[in-house]
Amino acid sequence: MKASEEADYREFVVSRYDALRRVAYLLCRDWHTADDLVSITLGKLYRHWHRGKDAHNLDAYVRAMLTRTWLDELRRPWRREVATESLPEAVQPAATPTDRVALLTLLGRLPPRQRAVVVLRHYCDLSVEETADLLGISVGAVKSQSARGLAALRLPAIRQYASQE
Amino acid sequence: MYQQLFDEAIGNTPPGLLDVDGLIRQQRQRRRGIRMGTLAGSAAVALAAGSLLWAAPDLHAQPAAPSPAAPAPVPPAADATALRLEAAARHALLTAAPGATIDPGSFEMLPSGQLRPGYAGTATFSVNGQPGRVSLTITKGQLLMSCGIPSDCQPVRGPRGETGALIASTRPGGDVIGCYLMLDRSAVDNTTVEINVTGVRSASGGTSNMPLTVDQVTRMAEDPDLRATA
Repeated sequence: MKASEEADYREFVVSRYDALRRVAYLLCRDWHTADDLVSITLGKLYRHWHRGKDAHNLDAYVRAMLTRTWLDELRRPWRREVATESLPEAVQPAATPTDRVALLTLLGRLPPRQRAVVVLRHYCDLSVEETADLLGISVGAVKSQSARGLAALRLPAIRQYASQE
Repeated sequence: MYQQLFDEAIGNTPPGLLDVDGLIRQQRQRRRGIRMGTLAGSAAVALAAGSLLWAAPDLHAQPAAPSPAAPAPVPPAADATALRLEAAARHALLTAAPGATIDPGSFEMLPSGQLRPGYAGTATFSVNGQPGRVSLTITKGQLLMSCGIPSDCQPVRGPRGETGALIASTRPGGDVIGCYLMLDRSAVDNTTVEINVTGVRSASGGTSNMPLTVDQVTRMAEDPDLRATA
């Protein structure tokens, strides 16, 4: 990679790093794993910078890479989500603990691909077509997964938010 | 609407750590390694083919005498940086908390991370009978960090122009049970220090409050001897 391209890459990483971490966190709900996912994704991006730069939407290209990396990582045995019997020691959260925990817990209960659809569509604000393209599934599948995912999230959690506003 | 809900649900973003230079360096090395591997592979194939042709007339000859035994591997010398940082870490903790007792075997500093090359070590210690655990990472250079939407995460500024981020975990009553501090001292001595301190409940019961104050943790991170290069 040329020095000028590396400068572009560096600028992209610095400007998008935080946003990518938040997307990764919504997908995996663990900051350590989110950091790993972002690091892996940025490494891949460096190797495929030419392809990414030529993509219609570089942000979407990177989000797709991140989502696929997460889906791939889920297949590895040591990454599988496991339930534990004991809860960690209670720590005072910053704000509105019930709502935050409720929404994240519900999000975590969605099947991985459905979770990815919800995050890409409703957090990253991608269109149905873009989401379908990124995940390699049909537009119809995105619509149905998105509707199911939102229904699962909306009923208990989002109504709770709305009632408090 | 949903974006805001999710952002609120995510809440505070802990400081992110990414060494962009390290990442680029690693990817360059990887690319170079792949190129070298390809070249080496081609050369090995050519060499094997050549040696087969060369050896063909002598296939029935007596096997050659075995080569003399390879010299025994020399044990690696002790890592001077690791030893220096181990002593510096002990000194930093004892300076910040003069009454602290550090358990034997603590602060063994080991090279850490490929993305973020540096040294890391952990220690168990106690202050006034309250046990705790500290993990320390010394990284050369600057790490990219962000506090995200701050609330628990507080920016830190040191006396020599260091900047950092601090996250303290508290119980509902207000007791601090642990904290994470990252201090970017790259402008001072090209070092970034990360410290994570947690309280440990002793076998005889008691609390798991953090045995150090946040100020003591900050002082420890500011210790000038905790630097990546000598």
